[in-house]
Amino acid sequence: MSTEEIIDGLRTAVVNYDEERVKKLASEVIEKGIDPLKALQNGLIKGINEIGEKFGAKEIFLSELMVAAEACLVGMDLLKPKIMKSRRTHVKPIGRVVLGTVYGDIHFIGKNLVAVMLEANGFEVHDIGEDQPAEAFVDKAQEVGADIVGASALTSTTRFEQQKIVKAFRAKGLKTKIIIGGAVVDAAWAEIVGADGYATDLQDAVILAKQLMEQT
Amino acid sequence: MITGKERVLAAFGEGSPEDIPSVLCYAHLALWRGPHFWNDFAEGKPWWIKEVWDIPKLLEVEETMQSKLDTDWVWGADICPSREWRKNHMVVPTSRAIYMRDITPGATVWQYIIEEPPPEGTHATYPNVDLSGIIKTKEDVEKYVYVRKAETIIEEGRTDWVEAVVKKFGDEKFILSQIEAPLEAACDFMGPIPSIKLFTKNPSLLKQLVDRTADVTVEEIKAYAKMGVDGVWAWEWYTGEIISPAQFEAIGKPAIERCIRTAHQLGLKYIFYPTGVGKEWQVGFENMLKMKPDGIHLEESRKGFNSDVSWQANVLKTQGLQDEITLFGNVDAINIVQEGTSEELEREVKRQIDVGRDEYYGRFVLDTGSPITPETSLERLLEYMNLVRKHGRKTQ
Repeated sequence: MSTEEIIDGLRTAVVNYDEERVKKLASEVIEKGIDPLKALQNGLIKGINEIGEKFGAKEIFLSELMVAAEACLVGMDLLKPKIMKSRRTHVKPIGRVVLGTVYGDIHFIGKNLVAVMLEANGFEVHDIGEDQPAEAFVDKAQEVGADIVGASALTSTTRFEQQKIVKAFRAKGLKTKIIIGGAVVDAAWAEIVGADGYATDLQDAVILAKQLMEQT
Repeated sequence: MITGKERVLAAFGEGSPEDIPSVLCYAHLALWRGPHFWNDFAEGKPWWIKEVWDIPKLLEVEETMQSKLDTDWVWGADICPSREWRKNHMVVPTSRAIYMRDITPGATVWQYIIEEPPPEGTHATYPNVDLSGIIKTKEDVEKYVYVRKAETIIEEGRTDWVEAVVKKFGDEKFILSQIEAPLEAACDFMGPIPSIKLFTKNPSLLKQLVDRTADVTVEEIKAYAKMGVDGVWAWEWYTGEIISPAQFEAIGKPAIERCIRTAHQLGLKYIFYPTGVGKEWQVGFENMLKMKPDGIHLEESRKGFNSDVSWQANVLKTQGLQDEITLFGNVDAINIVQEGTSEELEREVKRQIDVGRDEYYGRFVLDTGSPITPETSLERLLEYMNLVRKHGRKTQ
């Protein structure tokens, strides 16, 4: 297989939810000395972005999206060490993001998918998990020097925690951009809590994060 | 004088639907479990009576709640821990903490701290078991998913709460019990992420699992029927954008249909509550309606989906189901009940009742789309319930 075929094969393997094929082709990238960054960008990331678009257009559903995301992550995990080694230095992320689900809420599917999409698009993501109080978001953001904090809430009873998170950051004078997400969140709620933005879907989350980075 | 039960049954086609019944889904979630409403209804009883299933005291709480809210159904006549478990567990309140003590004879006595539910109440949570690495074959499914027969469920005292509720309220109110919907139950064994992935990765294993969890649900339905409840409520979250209509058709539908058939054979109403369903997934919604549940209840419109009752009524009528399926309203629990002005609240209640009465010919029950929030005050909740009665009732 040519370099182009291998890289495009990575893209189609993600689109076809074929984790084994991703593993095989990512290993070939390493064995054949193909530029791992190119394989990541033109293969895996292209694939997962296509999947994200299909999901947004309701051509595929969450089950397919998650399996594709998993395949993409497996490939990324294989390629990342090579990328770092070949560049001899850490590839600078376009931004650092702390993600978590708010206190009292243990839902994680949407948050985890946003994490995959952001990571695939060049962000360094620190996922603090579920059921996290406002202080945990603040602490982690300060620890890693986050540019953006994403707080997810799925239930009507827990979205008020998002407001607490914004207040906690502002009370400390931190300028970190805060985005909120989850099924019960909309633009009006984002405005009420004083968040810097909210995303309607996965693609939107990536676009929003990139836009916010331009403002930092 | 018409009873709440008669009102609900009329909305299910058993009698002339003069009134629009007023009910609250998941009443126990915020009203019964969260401290705010607990204080309104429990009259000083400690919160931990819920933890040990002190049935006489819990009945008193339910009675107070019913006297204040006067809903037409009693929510949550559900299977509880076995009689033996209840006998062998006691709460020990101390100044430092509240302990649950296991005093099973012959076993080592041990205790653990239990905590009061958080202010927002407890939400249905994902299971804490993940057998996705263990359940790999049909044999594994049969080994790990235990089917407890209806007779055993009853013999073990797991229906004692159901029996008490039916005895206390059954003449006046429609008694509703929750069942574990088969797809959702499969999640209990595999964990949410692995089970969602299985739809794409290994649909045949998932189908075997779902068929088995349906066996469990069928036995639950039989036990409820023997106790004399009026209907069962099935929340299913493998819907909306989670799986495709084709996946639902192949894996979920046969199992759910079996549960619906069982309920029908035993004279129970089957109310289906699929989450995340709206106009955007109309094909999926139509698929669900083909299963012929007795009632369909969608969440309120949210980000990404529009589930207005008027649209639902239209779809049901287009499918010719207006004489078979009862439509449930879905008043927005946050934006309307909790945060709307009094005018907005009344307008929305009246609008939904008008849809139910005029566009759907009265085969309609008014409910909130999702549970009442803990941020809603009792006064506000009473205002909502009074408005439902004001606009929904023609009889006394």
